Amino acid sequence: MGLTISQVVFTWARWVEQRDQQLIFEREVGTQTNAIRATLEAYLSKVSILADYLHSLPEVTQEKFRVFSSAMLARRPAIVALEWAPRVPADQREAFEERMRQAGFPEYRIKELRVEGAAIPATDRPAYFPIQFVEPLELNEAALGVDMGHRAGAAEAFAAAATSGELRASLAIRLIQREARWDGILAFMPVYRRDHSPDLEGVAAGVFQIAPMVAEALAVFENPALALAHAVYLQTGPDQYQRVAPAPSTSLADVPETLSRTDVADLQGKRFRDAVEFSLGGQSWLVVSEPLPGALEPMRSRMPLAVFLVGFLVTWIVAGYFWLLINRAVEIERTVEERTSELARANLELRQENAARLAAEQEVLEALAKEREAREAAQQAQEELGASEARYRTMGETIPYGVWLADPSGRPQYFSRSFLELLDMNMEETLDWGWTRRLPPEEVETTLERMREAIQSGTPFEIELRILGPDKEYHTVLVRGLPVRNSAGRITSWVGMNLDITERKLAEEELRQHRDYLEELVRSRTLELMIANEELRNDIEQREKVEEALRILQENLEEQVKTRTAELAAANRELEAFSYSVSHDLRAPLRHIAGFVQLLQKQTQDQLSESSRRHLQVIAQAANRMGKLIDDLLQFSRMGRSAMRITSVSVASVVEDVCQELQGDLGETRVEWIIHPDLPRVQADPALLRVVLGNLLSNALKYSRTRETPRIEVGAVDSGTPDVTIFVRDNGVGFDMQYADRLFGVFQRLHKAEDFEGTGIGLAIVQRIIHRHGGKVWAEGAPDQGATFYFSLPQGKELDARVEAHTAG
Amino acid sequence: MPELKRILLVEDDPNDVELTLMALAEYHLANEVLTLPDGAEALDFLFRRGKYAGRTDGLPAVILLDLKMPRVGGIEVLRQIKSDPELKTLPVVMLTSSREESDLVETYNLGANAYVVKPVDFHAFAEAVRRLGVFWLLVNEAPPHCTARQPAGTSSSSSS
Repeated sequence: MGLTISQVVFTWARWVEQRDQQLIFEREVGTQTNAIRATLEAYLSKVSILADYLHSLPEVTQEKFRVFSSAMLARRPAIVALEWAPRVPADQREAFEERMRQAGFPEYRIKELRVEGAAIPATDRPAYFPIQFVEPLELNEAALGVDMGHRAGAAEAFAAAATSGELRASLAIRLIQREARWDGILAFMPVYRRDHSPDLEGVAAGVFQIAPMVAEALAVFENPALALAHAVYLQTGPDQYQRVAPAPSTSLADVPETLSRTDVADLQGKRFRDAVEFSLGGQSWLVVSEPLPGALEPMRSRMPLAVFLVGFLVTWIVAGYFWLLINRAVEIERTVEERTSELARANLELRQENAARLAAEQEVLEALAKEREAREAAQQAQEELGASEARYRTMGETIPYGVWLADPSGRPQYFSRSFLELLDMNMEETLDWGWTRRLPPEEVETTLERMREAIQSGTPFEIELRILGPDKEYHTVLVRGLPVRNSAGRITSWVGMNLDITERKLAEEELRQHRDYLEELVRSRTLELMIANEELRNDIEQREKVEEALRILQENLEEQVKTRTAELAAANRELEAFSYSVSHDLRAPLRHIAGFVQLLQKQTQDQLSESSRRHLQVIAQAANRMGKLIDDLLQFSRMGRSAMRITSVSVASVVEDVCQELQGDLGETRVEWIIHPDLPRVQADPALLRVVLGNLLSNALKYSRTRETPRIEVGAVDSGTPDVTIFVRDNGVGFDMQYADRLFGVFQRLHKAEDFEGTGIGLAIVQRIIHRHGGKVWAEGAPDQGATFYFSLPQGKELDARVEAHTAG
Repeated sequence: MPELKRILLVEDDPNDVELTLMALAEYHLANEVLTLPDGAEALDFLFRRGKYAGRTDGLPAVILLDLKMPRVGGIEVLRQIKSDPELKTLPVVMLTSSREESDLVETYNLGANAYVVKPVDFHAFAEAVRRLGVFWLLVNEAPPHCTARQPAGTSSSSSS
C-alpha cells in the first residue's frame, strides 16, 4: 500500500517536472529558431542592399564596390564574399574579358563552374553574368569570371531571382574557396538598368556560411533558459531536407543528414526534440533542435526521488512491524493500529508538504513562464530590430543623408555611402576614429570632446562638425544622434544622421552677410543721418548764433541809433543854441555898430571929410550886409531843422501865390509868366514848398530882369516815375554848366554881388528843402541862354521812405 | 512920489538901451521910459519887492522886454506877469535880436502881446521903436483896471 502510494506520487512528480521542462524547451526552440531566422534574413538582406547601392551608381566601379562591400564585410563575419556580375552580351564577351585583363586580372575569362568544382571556359550563350568584382578579393579570386547563370548548385536560384526580381537564395553549395562541404549558400539579387528597361544590368550576390550565422544568432542569448543545439536543413526536394549546418559536438548525432517529411514529423513528436520550418530567400529552412547535453540537469528537482525513498523506507518499517506482530499479537495489533494512524498522519503531512512544494513549484513555473514571455518579447523586438535595421540600412545606403551607427561608446560601426563619399574613405578607414582625420586638425580635440559629452549624456544630441570633403573644401555637417535602448533601458547602440548643411550654412552665411551688409547699411545710413542731423544742428546752432549776433548787432544798432539820435538831438540842441546865440549875440554887436555909425553920421555930417563920410558909409553897409548874411544863415539853418508837415499841396496855387507876391516888388517891369496848367498836386510841406518856389522864381526874376521882356516858365515834366518833377525856366543870363555843381552851395555865387543882389543862400535852401523831401534838384543852362531849374519830389511810399531816410541820415 | 514912467524897458545891454532911448528920443518919448537892467529887477519892480517894496506909483502902459538877459530871462518875466491876475492884462512887447521860431512860439503861448525883432539897421530899429511907443502909448486902449492911464505930457500922478 505504502509502496504503491510512494510509487504513484513519485510518478506524478516526475510527470509534472517533465511536462514543465518540455514546455520550457519548446518555448526556447521557438525563440532561438526565430533568432536564427532573423539573422539569416539580415544576412541575406545585405545582397538586397548591395543591389540597391549598385543600382544607384551611374557606373559600378571596382573601387565603389570595394568600399561599400568592405563596410558590410566588416560588420558581418559570416559573409564569405560579396559579388557583382554584370550582364555581358555574347558580342561583348571578348571586349569585356580584355578589359578585365587590362584592369589587373591577367587570367580573367568568363567561365563555368561545374558541380565537381572544375572551372571551364563558358560555352557560347546569348549573354553571360560573369563575376566582375568580388570582395574580399583574397581567397575569392578564383570566383572572378564565373558565370552566375551557370554556377553549380546556384543556377536555379539565379534564374528564380532574375525572373522574380526578388532575393533568392541557393541551396547549399560547396564553396570554391573552402574545402568543407555544406559550406554555404548563395543569394542573388537582380539589378535592373536605371532606365527601367526590363533587361538586367547585372546581379549582386552574396556567399554566406550557415554555421557562423547560426552561432551569431545564438550569441545573442548570453544566458538562455535552456541551452540548445541546432542543426539547419534546407528543403532540397518535395520530401527531402538536406543538412546545411550540423549541430555542434555530439548533439543530434542520431539525426541523419537527410530527412524526409516523416522524419521531421517524428522529430516534432519526440520529447526534447523539435523541428521548426520557415521560408527565407525562396527556400524552406528547417531547424532541428535539442537541449545541449547536461542542459536539462540544473532544471531537474530531487523531489520525485525523495518521495520515492521516503515511501520505500516507510514500507520497510511497516513490514517489520507486521513481523513483530506475529510474535506479540495483542501488543502488535495495538501498536499496528497506533502506527497505522501515525503513518496515516505522516502520510497526510507528507501529502500536505508535497502540495506546498507543488505550489512553490507552480510559482517557480509561473515565474519562469513570465521570464520566458519577457524573453520572447525581447526576442521579438530584436527580430523587429533586425528587420528594421535591414530596412534602415537599405535606406541609409540610398538616401542622400549620411547615416551612421555606433556602439554604446559612440565608436562608429557604420557610415552610409554618402557620408563615406564625403569622407572619401572606405568603411575600414573610418573605424577607430579614423574618420576624425577629416576634421580640421585644430578642431579634432574639441569635436571629440563634444561628442563624448553627448554620448555620455545618453540623450539625443546634435553637433555641427566641419569635414574636409573630397573637393578639399570644408563641409559643415550637422550630426544628429539618437540612443537605441534595450528593454532594460540600457543603450545598445547609437543611430544618427549626418546632414551636409554646407550649402545651408553658406546660404545662412550669405544671408548673414547680407543681413550684416543691410545692418551696416542701416548703421552707415543712421550715421549719415546722425552726421546730417549733427550738421543740421550745427547749422541751426550756427544760424542761432548768427541770429543772436544779428540780434545783438540790431540791438547795438538800435542802441547806436538811439545814441546817434541822442547825439543828433544833442547836436541839434547845440546847433539851436548856436543859432540862438548867433541870432541874439552876433546880431546885437552888428546892430550896435550899424546904430552908432548912423548916429555918428548924423551927428558929424558937416564936420567930416568926404572920405571919412564914405568910410562910415562902408562900415554901415558892411554891418548891414553881415546882418543880412546872418539872417540868411539862420534861415538856412531853420530850413534844415524845422519840423515837416507833409500834406497834399497844389503846386499851381503856390506858384500863383508867389507870383503875386513877387509882382508887388516888380514895379514897372513887365514879366511874361508862362504857368503850365498841368501843374500837379504833390505831397510836400506847404510852407517849405513855398520857400522853394519863392526862391526859384525870385531867382529867375532876378537873373532875367536885365532882359527887355523877362520870361519865366513853370511846368511839370513827365518823368515816367512816381516822382513829380517841376521846372522853373527863365530867359536870363544863364550860367556856365561847368559851375553847375556850385550853384547849390551855401553862399556860392556865379555872379558879382554888384550885378545881382543876394547872399547866395537861396539855392542852398532850395536844395536843402528838396533833399529833406527825398527829392533831387539840378539845373541846366548856358551863359546868356537862360537857365532851367528842376526839382523832383517823390510821392507816396517813396516819399515816406526817402523822407525817413533823409531824416535818419 | 516918483514920476510914473509909461514905458518900462527891461534890457541888459546898455548899448541897446542907449539906441532904444535915442530912437524914442527922436519922437520925444525918452522921458516916458523907465529902464531896468534885468528880469529879476523887473519882477521886483512889478511885484513891489526888494528895493521897490513900498513903491506907490502904478504900472507902465507897456513893457518892452528883452528876451535874453542875465539872472532872470525875458521868458520867465513874461510868464510871471501873465500868471498874475493883476498884471496879466499888462501889454508886453517882446523886443529881441532873435528871429528864432521857438522863441516866437513860446512867447506868444505865454501871452506876449507883440514880438519885435530888433533890426540891424538903426533907421529900421528907430522906426520900429517909434511905432511901438506911438501904438502902445497913444493908439492902444489900455485895459480898464490899468492904473497908468494918463495922457502924455501930464505929470500928475494917480491918487491910488
